[in-house]
Amino acid sequence: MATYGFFFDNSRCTGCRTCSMACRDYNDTPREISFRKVYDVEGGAWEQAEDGTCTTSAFVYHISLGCQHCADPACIKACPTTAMHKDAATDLVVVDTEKCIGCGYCAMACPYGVPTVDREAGHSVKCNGCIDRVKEGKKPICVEACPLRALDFDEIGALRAAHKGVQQLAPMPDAKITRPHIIIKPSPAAAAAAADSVFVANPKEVQ
Amino acid sequence: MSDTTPSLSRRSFVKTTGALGALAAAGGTLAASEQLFGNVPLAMADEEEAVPETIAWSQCNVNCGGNCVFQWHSVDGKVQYMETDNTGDDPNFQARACLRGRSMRKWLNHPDRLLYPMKRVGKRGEGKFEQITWEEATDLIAEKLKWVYSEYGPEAIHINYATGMYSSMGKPGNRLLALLGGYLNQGADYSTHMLQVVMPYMFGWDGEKGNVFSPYDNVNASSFTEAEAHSDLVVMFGNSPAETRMGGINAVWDFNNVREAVEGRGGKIIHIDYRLNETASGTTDDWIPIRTGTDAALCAALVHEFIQDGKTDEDFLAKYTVGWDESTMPKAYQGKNMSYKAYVMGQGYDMVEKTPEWAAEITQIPADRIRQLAKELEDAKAPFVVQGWGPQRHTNGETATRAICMVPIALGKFGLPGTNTGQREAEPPAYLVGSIAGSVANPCTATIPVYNYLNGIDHGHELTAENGGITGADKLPYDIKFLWNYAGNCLTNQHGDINYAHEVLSDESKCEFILVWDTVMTDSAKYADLLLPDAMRSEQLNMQTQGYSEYYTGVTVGGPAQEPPGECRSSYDVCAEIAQKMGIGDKFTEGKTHDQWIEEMYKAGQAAAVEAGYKDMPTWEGILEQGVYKVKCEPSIGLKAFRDDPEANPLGTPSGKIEVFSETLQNLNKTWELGEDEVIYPIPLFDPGFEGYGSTTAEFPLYCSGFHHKSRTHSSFGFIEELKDVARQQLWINPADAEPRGIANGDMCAVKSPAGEIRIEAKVTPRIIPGTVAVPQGSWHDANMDGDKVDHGACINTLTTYKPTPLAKGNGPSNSIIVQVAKA
Amino acid sequence: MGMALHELPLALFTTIAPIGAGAFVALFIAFLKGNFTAAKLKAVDKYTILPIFVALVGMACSVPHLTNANNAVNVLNTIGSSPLANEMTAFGVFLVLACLYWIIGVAGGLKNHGFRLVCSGIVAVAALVFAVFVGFAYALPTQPVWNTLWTPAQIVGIELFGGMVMGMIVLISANADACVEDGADNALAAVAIVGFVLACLATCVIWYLGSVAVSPVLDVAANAGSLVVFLVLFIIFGIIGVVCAFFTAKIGSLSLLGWASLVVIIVACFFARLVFYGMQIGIGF
Repeated sequence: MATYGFFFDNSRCTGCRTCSMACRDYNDTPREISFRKVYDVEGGAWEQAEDGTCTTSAFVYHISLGCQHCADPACIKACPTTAMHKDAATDLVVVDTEKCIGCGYCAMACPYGVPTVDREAGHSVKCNGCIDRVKEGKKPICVEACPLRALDFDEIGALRAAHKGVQQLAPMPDAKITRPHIIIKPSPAAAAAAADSVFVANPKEVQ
Repeated sequence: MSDTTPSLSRRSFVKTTGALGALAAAGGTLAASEQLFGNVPLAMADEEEAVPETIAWSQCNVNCGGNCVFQWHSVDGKVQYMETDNTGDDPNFQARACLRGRSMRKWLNHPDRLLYPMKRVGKRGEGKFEQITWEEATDLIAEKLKWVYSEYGPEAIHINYATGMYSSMGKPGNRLLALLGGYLNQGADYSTHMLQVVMPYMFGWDGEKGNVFSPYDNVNASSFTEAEAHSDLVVMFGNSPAETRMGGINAVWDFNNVREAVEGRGGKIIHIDYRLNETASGTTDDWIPIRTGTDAALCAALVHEFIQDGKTDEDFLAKYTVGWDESTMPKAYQGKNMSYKAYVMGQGYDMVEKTPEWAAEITQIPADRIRQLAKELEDAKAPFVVQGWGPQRHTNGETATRAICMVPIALGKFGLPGTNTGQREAEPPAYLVGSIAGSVANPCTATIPVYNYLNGIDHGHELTAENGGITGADKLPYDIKFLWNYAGNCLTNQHGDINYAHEVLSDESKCEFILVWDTVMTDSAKYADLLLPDAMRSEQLNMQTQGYSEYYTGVTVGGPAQEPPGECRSSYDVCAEIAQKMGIGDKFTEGKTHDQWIEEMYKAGQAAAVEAGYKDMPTWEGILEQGVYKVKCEPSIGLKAFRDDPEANPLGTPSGKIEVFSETLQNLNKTWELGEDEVIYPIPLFDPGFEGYGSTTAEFPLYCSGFHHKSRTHSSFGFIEELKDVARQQLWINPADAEPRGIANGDMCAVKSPAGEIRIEAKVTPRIIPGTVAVPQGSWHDANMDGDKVDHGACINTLTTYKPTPLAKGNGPSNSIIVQVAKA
Repeated sequence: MGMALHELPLALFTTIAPIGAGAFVALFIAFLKGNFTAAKLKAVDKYTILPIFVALVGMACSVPHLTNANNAVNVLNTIGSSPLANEMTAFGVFLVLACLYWIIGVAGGLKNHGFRLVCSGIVAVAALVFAVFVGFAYALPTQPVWNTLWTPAQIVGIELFGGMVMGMIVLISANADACVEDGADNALAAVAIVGFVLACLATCVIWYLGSVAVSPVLDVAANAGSLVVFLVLFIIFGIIGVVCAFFTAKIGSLSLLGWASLVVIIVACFFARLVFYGMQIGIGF
């Protein structure tokens, strides 16, 4: 069994949403559901001098998040049916639609807002790491889509060997809670940002 | 056990393109390839659940220039999903589609697709149509063509500016009309209107004498790859490829490599923009916020500092330029303190010394920051100064674009490794295949600046070279009576002052026939007398050479991925039918089908390319198999030949040098008919411009500028709901401007300019300079034109005034607007 | 407010089912303190079907929440490990015990007072356990506003508040209200008031925690502001409910007043639950 995870180069991400659109196209998700979302994180202030000139500490960075297929997933813990489970071969967190009752507790539990209930489909849905592509030896569709090569996917051990990084950026939740299988290379802005000094600037785009 | 992916079984059978290749190779003839490229069954993994999946190559053909690659996966003749370019050994050299390209399936299958020809039944502009047959439609066009050519002449029919379709077979109408007698040409374009017209006066236009300026080459500007290789300081003026050229080997990727290389060796990137644009994402101290439209003031102050610090190379400037200082002024203008240096030092023109303090008030950049930037530029070994096309798309764009070039020129830092001329990054040197639009020359030479087309309709017969920028003729003999608008939304949405455009276009006595040909009901399409539905390029065999927004060359051939819906047809076939009715059927087709034209153009291009050194460009059979061919370009240094030997390689200016002061321009003030507020400046001084710096009023106290938005290429993709969901149309406004107006993030706002009013959601953000608001351009106009005309679609051209710039007659007002904003 | 309305079925379930269950707590108190004739007890046992029916109505309300109730049997897989499965199991256990109790009662098997007290006590405990487990189902570490003891406290409060009135309705319907003397009357009214105060306190605390929570994506102040209307409606209806409950207990014999009180209390507690669901404020996105 292999354990897979994502690498995200936050210093490259321009917030373009291509990952999200590629995911929507490939998974044919309805408009209101997105398995991968891009959060625009902003912060900083302005000072205006008497002469009308300005200085600012404004910054923006973007966080592209699908499922991070955590080591200790909150969704699996909350699931009352074992529908939410780890795939035996890949360790990817997937939904067994034959078991799922669509109660939405996975959605309430996940601190990353990943699973959601597709009422039309009749069960929970989420990023499954493009498990079928992975089993064919391909990368997830979002990884192959990224114009900035800011995403990668591989066995988590290989990713950890290839990249230094962190597991969270402000304002992501504490990685200790679910131990996500992700490595993030922070941009200078993200590295300098404190959780209480940033805000997600596009709440309606990541609903 | 099942899984969340709704179509797991479908995916299990996806195989790569091997089978496709085998089949395509077997069918070398065109007839065979037509069949083959319908639906090629690929290998199936499971006999029991045989779901044949086909893969067709295609590409994005809109006007970002990327022409990124699609691999359509289709089942049962219906596209299921897209993969992009995943070919080759180098994942960093793949033409990966951006979010817009990735939404193309939504476009193809959109319920709003136009499905059959339609004739206007209501008032023009009302958008009321009735279905007619193709027979009736082509009859009507033939009748109107006969009328316009007999009643008037070729100057009365205009193929107006339209950029929705960049494909080898994209504009068969140009060929048709050229063969019928011609049409009024387009001068310049909405992308680089001011720049394209004014820059030749500085960098050359006379090919006989020397180098000719073009915004679209790698001779006048350096490539980003050159900055990547050698620069230690990159200064971006209003240039954000992360929002414009977003594909996987477009400028956004090239710039990423520049940033990583330059910063990796201790260099620096600086973004000068009124917005913290997406290209500057993740950076901390690299953004210098500037008031919109004041770049030339900053540049004058920078040059002032270079002079003060003794960093200008006077010998160099004397050798390479005209009009830098008194010593190189043209004879007729000597002793008048009309050089650029005289302007900067306060000895001429407005007689104000262009100190950082002077510029600070105009630009909102603290004087110390200007001094620091000057120092950074002076100290850089290889400064790469580069401008986007936003700074020139202002009412003062004709001076601003040249002023930015003065920064490297004053330092003598161009034509050298790692430097640039101040112009936009270079484009690839070679296009590999031709197009049907260019297959025959237009016999009509008269040319109207594209932005002046509306005046051409309103009073074209009064337009001359001196008052309307007409070239190729002294004047227009008639008003424009027949508009041929193929795959474009520039009649209204992308033109300027939609409310005025509506007035002119809805007057049926002015332009008497408007043909619009598109895939969906755009705002421009509402003004059609005849509205034709077009097949998408993914619905037919498609070919296009790589474009103008990346630094490599290539070509993609493939398709169709699925059949066109309804009665949509290839525009080539329709033009062939019209040609038949006009009696030039054979002349138009040369006996070739649509697909045969592509094959012939490819083969011709391939032969020439192999000759030119692209030895591995595949044969026709080869390209059908591999779909896409790409070649990297060598880095280029703008104006290197001139720099190396200005005697041997002069510029195509009267002096052969860079004309910082252009006598030719200055003399136009005497010969041209200009408005009272219009001046053509011989030097790139800071001119506030119409609705520019200092023009705000109590009624309109904020500056407003447009910018390119990730959710659209201009107005293309503007109707795709999924893109609007992830990248909303929002007014950028600084908290300092929002709070006094009681505007919070997400509030609906009314934005009012002297020209019109829009409704738009607020994005209250520290990412924009106080005093300026920004509206993403290209959103679809949505107003009751018989009622209040308030635009709920938030199209910026509801706010822009229609006022062509003095020299170019261009769309300067695009980014020069004054507004008031209120909570709606 | 949007999130609150999104969870309408759950809000109805977690209001109505505990109130139905709470009636068994009331009956236990009545049996403990009252003085019933055998005939009255027979009638009471007959009408004990009413709270079971109400609990089942509550359950029916929850069905639309499940996107695919057909798979519900899989809940058995996670009893013990999943708080939600525990909640559903606790409800099932309560329901089975309540039904058994009713069947035994109607069959005349509860004639021995001590046995009756033991049996009704067991069902009452099952009802309380169910209420606590409803609360624990929301004890998600990633939902800090919910993850406190105030969540089960709110449900227990609702159960006691509405349950007492539901119990009174059983007694009134059986014409047995006179069998409970002042002490029992007062006890039922007092427990109802305690329930309301507990629910009120819990709801206010949950609203407060939600108003000061930290969220990177949600404007928590605006969200709390939008829920004030539910909080106020809860308190207003709750106070009316308390007054009604008091008079129901005191006057007795008026079954219409009893039912009216129950409706007012259900409405009140439903608003309290909407406040709760409106405070789904995850620690992340």
